[in-house]
Amino acid sequence: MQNQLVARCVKGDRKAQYELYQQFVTPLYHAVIRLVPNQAEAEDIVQDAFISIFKNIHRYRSESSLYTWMRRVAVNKAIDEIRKKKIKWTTEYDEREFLEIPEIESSLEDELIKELHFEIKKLPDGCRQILSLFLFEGYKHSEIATQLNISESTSKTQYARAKNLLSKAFIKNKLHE
Amino acid sequence: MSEKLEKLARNNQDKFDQIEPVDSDKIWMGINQYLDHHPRQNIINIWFVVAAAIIVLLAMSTIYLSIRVEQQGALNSEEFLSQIYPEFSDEFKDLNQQVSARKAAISFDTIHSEEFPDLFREMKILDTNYHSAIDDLKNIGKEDAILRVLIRYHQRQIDLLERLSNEIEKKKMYHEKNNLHILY
Repeated sequence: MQNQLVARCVKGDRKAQYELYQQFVTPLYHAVIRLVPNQAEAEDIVQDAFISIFKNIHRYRSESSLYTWMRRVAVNKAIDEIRKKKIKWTTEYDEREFLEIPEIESSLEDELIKELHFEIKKLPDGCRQILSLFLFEGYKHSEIATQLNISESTSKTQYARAKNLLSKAFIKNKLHE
Repeated sequence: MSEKLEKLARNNQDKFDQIEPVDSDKIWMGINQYLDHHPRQNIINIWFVVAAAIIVLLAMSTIYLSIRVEQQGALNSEEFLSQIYPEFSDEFKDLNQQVSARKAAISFDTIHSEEFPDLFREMKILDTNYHSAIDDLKNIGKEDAILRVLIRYHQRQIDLLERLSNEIEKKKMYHEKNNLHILY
């Protein structure tokens, strides 16, 4: 079924392209918005990613799933945008600042996920991007280091910083409830 | 937090990817506009056309060059012989005309060499000898022995074409006889 859709997209069938777009635009948008948390910018990146996908779909080989391939295209587009911006990396980080968040009931998991998503978006550039690439896109710290032109230890430190900031935000939120 | 967060993210990737509303119509509009203004080009076909054009050009230039070289070679040989032996210029011209006339009479260019293998083998040997005689003439200079070889070449070529013509006639007669035999 998906192979047929891809074949139609290769031929430039606009209906098929739209079908593929509708199927994957939401997850791709979320992958991008966590890396570039500005709606207009994220929309531009997603648009650019889909154009690139349609232009290069004849190169897609079924060794990886179509979704994985498309997601990688979108994430790479976002990384290209990140590279254009100069990020000030905080290399020093005190792990003692790390705080634990309280146990959350599984019934409240959906709410927690939603909350986490918006807290992630509020994280400073750099640590947010590393957390997103590591946690959601499956990148290793060595791969992040290569992609963002930083050291592997910076990637690890920034990841720890992101988690710490998230836990702080959670405790703060709980205190306000 | 660390383990809890990682577990939560890994187990709920789908949920994490469905939280915000996406203005999909707006994004699609941009994509659609781009695709309208940049119609899809079939890269494979373009490359195929480019490759085919290059092959055709190369083939044509190779054929053209080989014809030119062949024509020039023949012309040069005749000119060269006339320069070396101006006293035999008319004789060479006459012999060449006889060869051309006999070739034209039997439509030489349309004959398959496999049909008359012995004669064509002889012609090939004759051609090789002729070219080595020309080379000798260039290296050694004017020699009566070479001149004899060159004149003999033309005469033997005329003989071979005569034999070829006879063989063709024989073949024709054989086929006609066979056809009559079948008819009666």
